Amino acid sequence: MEDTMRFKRFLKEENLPTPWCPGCGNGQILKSACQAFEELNFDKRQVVIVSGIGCAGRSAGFFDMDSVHTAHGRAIPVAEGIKTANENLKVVVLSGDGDLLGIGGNHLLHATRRNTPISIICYSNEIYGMTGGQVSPTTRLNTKTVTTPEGNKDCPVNVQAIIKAHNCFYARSTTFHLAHLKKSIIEALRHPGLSFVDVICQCIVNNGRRVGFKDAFEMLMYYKNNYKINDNTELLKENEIGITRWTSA
Amino acid sequence: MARQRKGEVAINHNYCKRCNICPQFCPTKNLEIVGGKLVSYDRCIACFACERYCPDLAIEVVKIYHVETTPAG
Amino acid sequence: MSKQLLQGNQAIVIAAERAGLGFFAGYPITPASEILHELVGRKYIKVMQMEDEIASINACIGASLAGLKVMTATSGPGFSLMQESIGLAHMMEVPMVIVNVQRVGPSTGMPTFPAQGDIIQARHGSHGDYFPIIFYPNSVEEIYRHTFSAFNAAEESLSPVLLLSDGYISHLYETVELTNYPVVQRGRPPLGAGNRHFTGLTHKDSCPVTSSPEVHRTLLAHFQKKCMQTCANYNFYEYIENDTADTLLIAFGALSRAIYNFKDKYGVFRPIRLFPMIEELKDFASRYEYIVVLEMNTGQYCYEVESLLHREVELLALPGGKIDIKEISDKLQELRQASSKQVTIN
Repeated sequence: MEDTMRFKRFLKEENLPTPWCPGCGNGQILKSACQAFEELNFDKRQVVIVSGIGCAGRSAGFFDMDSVHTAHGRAIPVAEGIKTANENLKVVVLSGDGDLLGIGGNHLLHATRRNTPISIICYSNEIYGMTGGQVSPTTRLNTKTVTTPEGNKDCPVNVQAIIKAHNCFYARSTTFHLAHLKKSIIEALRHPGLSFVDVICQCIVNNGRRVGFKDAFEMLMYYKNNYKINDNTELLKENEIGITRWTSA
Repeated sequence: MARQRKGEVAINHNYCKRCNICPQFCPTKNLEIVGGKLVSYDRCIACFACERYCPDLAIEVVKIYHVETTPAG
Repeated sequence: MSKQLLQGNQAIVIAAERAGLGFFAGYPITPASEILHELVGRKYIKVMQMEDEIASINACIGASLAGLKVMTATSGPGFSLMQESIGLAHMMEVPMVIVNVQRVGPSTGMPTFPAQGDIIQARHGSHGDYFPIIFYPNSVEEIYRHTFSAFNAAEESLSPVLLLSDGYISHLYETVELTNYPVVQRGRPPLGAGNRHFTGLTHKDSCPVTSSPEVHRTLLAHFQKKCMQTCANYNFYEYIENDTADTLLIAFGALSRAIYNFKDKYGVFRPIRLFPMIEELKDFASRYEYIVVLEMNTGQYCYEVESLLHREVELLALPGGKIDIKEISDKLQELRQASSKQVTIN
């Protein structure tokens, strides 16, 4: 076997294939997280995966290590409980934007305030995919969804501002920029406090098609053309991805 | 001389969801969905784009190493 | 052994510490806040004051899975917020102790007044089917003792156990003999020991199975069996027989302290383990013509008694946080007269 697939040792292959739709970006993030674990040579018995509810919430079940699939929005407090109880564990939260920023938004705000050393990887597909494509906290202005047929009138949540307000680690990447995504996750896992990786990923079935993309590849090309990498800034612009500079207070 | 195949694309059809991402990333048009099934031809240059961009871990590229032979004479 | 004058909430804390509490997460609320105050600064207990009760119980779930004995304490409004995750804890088989110091509701109600309005919520509050073990002591000494019971039952059943109290018992000061009761240790290895998947989805062998009624039924049967097996060791109640009486009074918690005054004229039964219900009650009840349940609510346990006994049970509802012996005495007499009238009409 080529070395490129060594990350598979972090997955329970008997549980594959994943339940996600064809073209969904979630699998890409799952893979990138495993590649980051592999690169950092993590011990499987030292890592605990916590997830919430939704498409992304199903991620936890695929890891070949202890994992907790919590209630909707509650991945962060569960992760904080685990980390506080056993500081030697590396606690990684994998969940979606609706889970972490919508129903669980308050927990995120307070977890950043406490700066609990956990790593959060947010699958930001800008939609509630599992329930059929309703507007989510990260849906862009004027986007048509099932619940905003005239276009979304509300401003998407500024995640970066929330995370940076309490001087935590923030990185943004996409499922097209895979090398950058892996690097972002690695940096997040290395960070001594709370780290948040905002991964823009495609939901072709319940979002992409409605806004005019033909297939997942087109969405990936849109990410390629729309986002510029900038790893040397304190605050990312809307069309930038990058690992923001962080200074220890 | 015909261009030599540099890689072998192993497709796990149980994992593959035929999302049509990999055929569009392949620079040599080596992958195609034919009759609802992903097939691979012999034009692989082992660039790993399909393996990298497959969200379902369905593709594994194996590099083929050819033994260099110098022509006699 | 030593005797100490303690408040109900303090007694919970001291017992919890001796039972091996390692983690507490909570949110301030009257009349349970003293538990949080007392726990802060104790050497072996990690305390987190969270942003709300939802975060509190979820942090407890995490810490419990990570291997510590955990507890959270709240009152009605916070208890309502915790309901979803109580179901999660049952589904994932997470041992923990939840203290609910009841106050008058619904809503903000009368925060400093005692009530017993969370009986049905404690038993049925979360969605779906689950089988909670619920204790409700009626003195400081007893709440000290049954905090041990709650921790031990949680470990044995691998499920959240509820310790009900009320604004009266929790703020009462009494002398307590600080006995060291036996303590049950965790059998299951903590997180980081394998590749288990703890999920709120219906599951089998740590793998989600969401389309098999059989798997779900097997899982429920497993929960129920676990609960009943554990309960056999925690069969706590008080029964004061009265040969000459025709009526059995059933009460618990703060109100049951007032009922002792009537033991000359009535039989008295006081469940300490409210759920699963004490089976012996069937036998005791058969010795009396009338059964009256007295509660500081408008009738919650009375329905449960009725369905256990399959016979008519009368209710003496005393909501609003008032315990007045004269009032109870008058109402009991009224109830008796009303029953006898009914008998003549029929």
